[in-house]
Amino acid sequence: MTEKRTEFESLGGNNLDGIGGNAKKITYTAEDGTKRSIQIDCGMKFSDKAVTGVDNYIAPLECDDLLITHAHADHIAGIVHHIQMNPDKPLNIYADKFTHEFMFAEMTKQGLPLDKMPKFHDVKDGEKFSVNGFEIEPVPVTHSAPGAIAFVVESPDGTRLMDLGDFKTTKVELGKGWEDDRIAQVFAKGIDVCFCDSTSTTSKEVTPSYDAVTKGFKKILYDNPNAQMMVGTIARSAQQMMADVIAVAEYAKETGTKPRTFILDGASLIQVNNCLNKSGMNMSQVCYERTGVRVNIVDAKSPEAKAIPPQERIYMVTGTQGEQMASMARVARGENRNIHPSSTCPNLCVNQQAVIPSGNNQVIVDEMMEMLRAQGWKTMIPERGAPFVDGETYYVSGHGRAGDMEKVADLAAANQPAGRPCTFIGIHGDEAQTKATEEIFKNKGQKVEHITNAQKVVVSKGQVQVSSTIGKASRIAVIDDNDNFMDPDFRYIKQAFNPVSKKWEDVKQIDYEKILVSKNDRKHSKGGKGGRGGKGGKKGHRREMSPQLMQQMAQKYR
Amino acid sequence: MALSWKDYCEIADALNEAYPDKALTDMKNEELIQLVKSLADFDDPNEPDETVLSAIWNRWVYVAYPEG
Repeated sequence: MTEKRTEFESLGGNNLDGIGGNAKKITYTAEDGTKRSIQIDCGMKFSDKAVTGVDNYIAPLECDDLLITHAHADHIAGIVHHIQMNPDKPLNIYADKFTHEFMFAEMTKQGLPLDKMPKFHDVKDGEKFSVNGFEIEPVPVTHSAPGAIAFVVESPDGTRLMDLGDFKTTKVELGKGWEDDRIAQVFAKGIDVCFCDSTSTTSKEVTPSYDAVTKGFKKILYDNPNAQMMVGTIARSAQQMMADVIAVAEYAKETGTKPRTFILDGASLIQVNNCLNKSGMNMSQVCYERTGVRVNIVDAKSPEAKAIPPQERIYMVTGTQGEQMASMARVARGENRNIHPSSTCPNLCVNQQAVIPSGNNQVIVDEMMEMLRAQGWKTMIPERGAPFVDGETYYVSGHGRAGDMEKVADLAAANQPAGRPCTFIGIHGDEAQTKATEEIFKNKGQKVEHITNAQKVVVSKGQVQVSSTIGKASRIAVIDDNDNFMDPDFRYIKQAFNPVSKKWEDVKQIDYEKILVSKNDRKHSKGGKGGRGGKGGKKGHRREMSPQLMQQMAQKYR
Repeated sequence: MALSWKDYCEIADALNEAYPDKALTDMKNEELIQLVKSLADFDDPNEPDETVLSAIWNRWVYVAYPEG
């Protein structure tokens, strides 16, 4: 006879490997010893290929039933690779409709055959469902990606765990987002363990809302009334784009002018806009309902876009981090087919994302902005970590800060049933961030525990314990030997974390039958070829522009 | 070789070649079906479902907008 218990295990994205590659597994063990599991998220962690020879790392996929919190790569991008490696595995995915639409689009990008696609199940607030013996309750939260969800998972022994996903506690325009009353309702039913996104908890106060972006962006419109504008954004973080659209509507209303038109340039933006429309979150309509002003959103290739006077244009572009193939870098190099500086009005480029401190992003972005200035664009870019200035800030993070965690702690304290304390655990962050999260809850009088990847949280008879032993953390290194996202040739190497050397070590290369409907190889073939670092074949989407190339291009435009 | 609905990658390539300047936002399914049926290599008497049409459209976007 086994003691029945519920276990939570962080499979990735927690402490050992910094931020990214998020994945968590929940397992219930019955008295007869049988186990059943579900997984939450299966993400990817970026890698600097020039340094590591690896495109990215993905978390393990250990279950057939997968709950997805939102559509960011660090939560979903591992899935398509696991389908490559194991195409006949039955896979059920439970997420918001926007997340599904976006995942489906991403899978077609890699040419995944339709009969190998996972089965998508749309989930909605207020509609509980059962998966593999677990009762699941989806709860909307606010994040930069629309359709972000927290999951309450109740196991057959009544243990209730909540993964808040990536969240902050302010409201959103697209979708439902965070509501204090809804979270209070969840805590009132009792939560035994709550897992909290720790990415930004070392920062004080509450992460500002998207209303702050609307205010800041509107100031830019007032300061530059006659400029042709180009705004760099991260497509799937569409809440920020929505804030810009509302700013344009409010500015038009306040000044009695015609609203500017948003012109989307880049596949990701076109895709995200389509996913929003299919999910009932048409940005133009949402804006109209909020402001009474209709703002048009068009395709950069459309005749309509070309007919708009430059000073009425806002080009939304991809490539905030200087990605070589993305729209903004193409404009910087003078290679963009749709966007050129205007000779009849000022030109303003607003890069609406701070530089992500990874690899040589700073150098690349600096040079890209310099090339734009050489073409006559005035440039703006937010400084990472800069203090929030009301009316000036035009970029906000989607992750909650210390003040957001305090709000969660207060909601739990005010609503948790007597005799059923909640234990809070920081996840999705490095050691300092997760510990900062736990410190906040501890200071609020809540119970806390600390875990690392592959370390289990065990709940049995209402008691929460962290296992003293740490399992063997694993991940998969992904190497695209073609360096081409439209026609990739992936190689997969399983890696394990060595707790003594504190380093990831190769375990084995994973053999698989290639199922991609590739341009050059439509039939099944053995996946992967060549050694680490690729063959230097046809170049497609490289994440970073080489500094040498950037320098050459910068000189050309000086 | 004749294309059928399931060959969504090849269809997207062919559409991009045949209609390189087509703006893809707001395209209705009816229009997409007509464009596919107009392709010289396409030969499938069946009617496509929503999933197939979404796959074709999505893939076409990635082919048509190399801006990433």
